[in-house]
Amino acid sequence: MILVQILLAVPKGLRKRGIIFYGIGFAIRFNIKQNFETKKVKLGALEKIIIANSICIAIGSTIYFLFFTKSFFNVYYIPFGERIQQKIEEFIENASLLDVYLVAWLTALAIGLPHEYMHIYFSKMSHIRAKNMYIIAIMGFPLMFFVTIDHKNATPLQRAFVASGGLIFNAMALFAATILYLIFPDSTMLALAFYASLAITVINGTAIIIYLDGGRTIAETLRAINENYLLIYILILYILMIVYVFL
Amino acid sequence: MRALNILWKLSFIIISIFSIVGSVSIETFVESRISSSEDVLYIKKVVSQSINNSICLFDGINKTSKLHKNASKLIIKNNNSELLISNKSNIIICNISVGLLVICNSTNISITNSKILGIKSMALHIVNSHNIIIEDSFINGTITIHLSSKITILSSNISTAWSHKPDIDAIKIINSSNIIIDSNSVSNLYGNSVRIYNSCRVLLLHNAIFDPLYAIDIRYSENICIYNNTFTAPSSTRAEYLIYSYLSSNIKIKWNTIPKETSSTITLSKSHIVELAYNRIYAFKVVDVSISSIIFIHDNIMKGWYQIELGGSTLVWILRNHFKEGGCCISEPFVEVRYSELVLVERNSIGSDFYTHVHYKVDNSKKVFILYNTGVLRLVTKVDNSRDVYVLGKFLGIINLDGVLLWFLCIHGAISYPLLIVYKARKSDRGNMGC
Repeated sequence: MILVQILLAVPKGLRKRGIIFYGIGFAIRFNIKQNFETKKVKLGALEKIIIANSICIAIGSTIYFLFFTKSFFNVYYIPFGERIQQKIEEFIENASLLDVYLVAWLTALAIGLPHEYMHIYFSKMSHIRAKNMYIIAIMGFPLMFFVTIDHKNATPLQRAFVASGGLIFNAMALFAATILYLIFPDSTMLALAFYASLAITVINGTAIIIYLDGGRTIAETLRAINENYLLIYILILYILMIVYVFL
Repeated sequence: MRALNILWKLSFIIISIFSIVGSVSIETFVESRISSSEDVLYIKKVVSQSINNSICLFDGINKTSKLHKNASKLIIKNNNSELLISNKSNIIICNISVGLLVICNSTNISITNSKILGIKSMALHIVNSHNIIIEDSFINGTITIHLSSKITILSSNISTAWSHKPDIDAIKIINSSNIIIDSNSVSNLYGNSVRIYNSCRVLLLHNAIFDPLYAIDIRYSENICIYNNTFTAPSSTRAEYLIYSYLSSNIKIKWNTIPKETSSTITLSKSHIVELAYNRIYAFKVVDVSISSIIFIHDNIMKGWYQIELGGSTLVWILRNHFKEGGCCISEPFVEVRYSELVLVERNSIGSDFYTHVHYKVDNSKKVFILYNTGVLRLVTKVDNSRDVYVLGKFLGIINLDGVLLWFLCIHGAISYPLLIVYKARKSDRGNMGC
C-alpha cells in the first residue's frame, strides 16, 4: 500500500484534481463553491444561544478529557464499556480487514461529513466563505476531516459561531447514538457508533487544544468580549496543560 | 458599570476554569498521597508477591505424560466383570467394559476408550499408584484417587446416576498429588463433582460440570488450579456452592464461567493465597471470604445479589472487577467488608445499580482503601465502627463523573435539535442573509 501511495504521489494530474498522495496516506480536497466574500455581520440572539450551547459542550468535553483520557482508551471504563468491549471483541474476532476498513470509513463518513457540513452551513449563515473541505486518510484509514475558511474579515463571534457548528453536531450525534444504543443494546454497529461519537465529541470539544472546535469556540468568544480575555485564556490553557502533563 | 460587568465575567471565567484545575489538582494530590500510602503499597506488594510465588502447577510435568516405551501392551477387550490391577506396571488397556476397576500399587497404566459402569456407585479406585492415564472413557460412578500421584483423567464422560445414594462424589482425590482432570464432562446431581482432601497439585482444566449441587470441595489442600471450567447449575434448583475451600492454600481460580444462577459460588474459609481472576459468574452470592488472608480478586465479571463479602480477612486486593445487580428488590452492597484489615478495593466498575443504595460497606474494619471505583452515576460508601478507611474515586468517590458528563453532553445534544430547527426556520423566513 505504501508503494502504491508513493507511486501515486508523483502524477500532477491527481493533485490538480484534489487527490493528494503523500506516501503513508492520501488526502482528498473538495472545492466549496460559494459566490460571496466574507464580511462582518452582527449575530442575533439565536446565534449567541447556539454559541453558548456549544461552549457548554466544550466545557463538558474538556472536563471529560481532563479526568478520563487515561482510562478513555480502555473501552471497558467508559459508560456501558463492558458491553461495548464485548461487542468490539466480537467484531474484531469475526471481521476481515475489508470489514474493518468498511466500518472505519462508514463511521467516519457518518460523523465526519455532517460535522463538516455543519461548519459550512454555519459559515454560510454567518456570511463567512468556506473554501475547501479535506479528507485525510492514513494507510487507507480515515484520519481527519476539515474545512478551510476565509475568516480574515470576520468578527471573532462569527468565527466562534462557525466553530460551534461542529460541536453542536457532535453532541447531537452523541445524543442519538446513546439513545439508540440504550434501545438496541445488542447491536454491534450501534455500540461502535456510540464509542466513536463519544470519542469524537470529547476530543474535538476539548478546550485544551486551541485548534480544535471546542478551544476555538471558547477562544473566539472570549476575544469577542475582550481581546485581553483571550490572553488570559491562553495563559490558563498553558497552566491546565502543565497540570495535566506533570500531575 | 461596564468595568464591573467585565470584572464579574472575568471572575466567573477564572473561577470556573480554576475550579476545574483545582478539582484536578486536589484529586491528583490526594491520589498521589494515597498511591504512595505505605499501607496500599504493602497490600499490593504482599498480595502480588504471594500470588506470583505460589507454585505454578505441574511445572516440568507433561500433562499427557506418555507411558514407558517398554510398556507391555496388554489389551483386554469386552470384559464385563470387575477388574483388579495390582502390583503391575506398564499396561495399556483399551475398549473394555467393566463394572468396577481397581488399580492398586501399580505404575504406568493407560486406560482408553473404555466403559466403567460402576457397582454400588463405585466405578474406579486408584490406590497407591502412579502415572495413570484415563482417556476418552465413560465412567458411571465415583472415581477415588487415594495416596497416588501423576494421575490424569482426560476427555472422559463422568456421571454418577445413582439416585439412591444422594451424597456420592464424582471424583474424590484424597492424600494425592499431581492430579490432572482435563476436558471432561462431569455430571453429578447430588454430591460433589470433585472433592479434594489433603492433596496437593491438582489441576482442573476445561471441564464441563453439569448440574452440581456442590461442584468443587477443597479441604486441607494446597496448589490447586481451577482453570477454564464451565459450571452449569440445574435449572430447577440452585446449586448450594460451586467452589468451596477450607483450610487450603495456593488456589488459583481463573477463566471459569458460571452462566446460570447458583446460591453461593465461591466460598473461601480459612484459606490463604487465593487468586480469583477473569471469571464470569452469575450467582446469588458471588464470593464469600471468611477468616482468610492474601486474597487477590481481579478482572472478574460478577452478577449477583451479594457480590463480595469479606469477613475476618486480611490482605485482600479487589481489583478491576465489574459488578452487576442480580435482579430486583435486594439492595446489598457490591463489596461488604466486616471485621477485616488491610483491604484494597480498587478500580472496580458497576454495570447497574438500580436497586443498590450502598455500593461499598465497611463495618468494624480497619485500614480499608476504596480507590478509583466507578458507579453508574454515583458511588455510595457506608462506613461503620471502622478506622483508617479511605475512599477516593472518580470525582472524590462521590459521583461517577463520566456518567454525569455523558448525560450533560447528551442533554446539550438534545437541546441542539430544537435550536437548529428554530434557527433554520427563522433563516428561511428572513432569507439566508443575502446568500
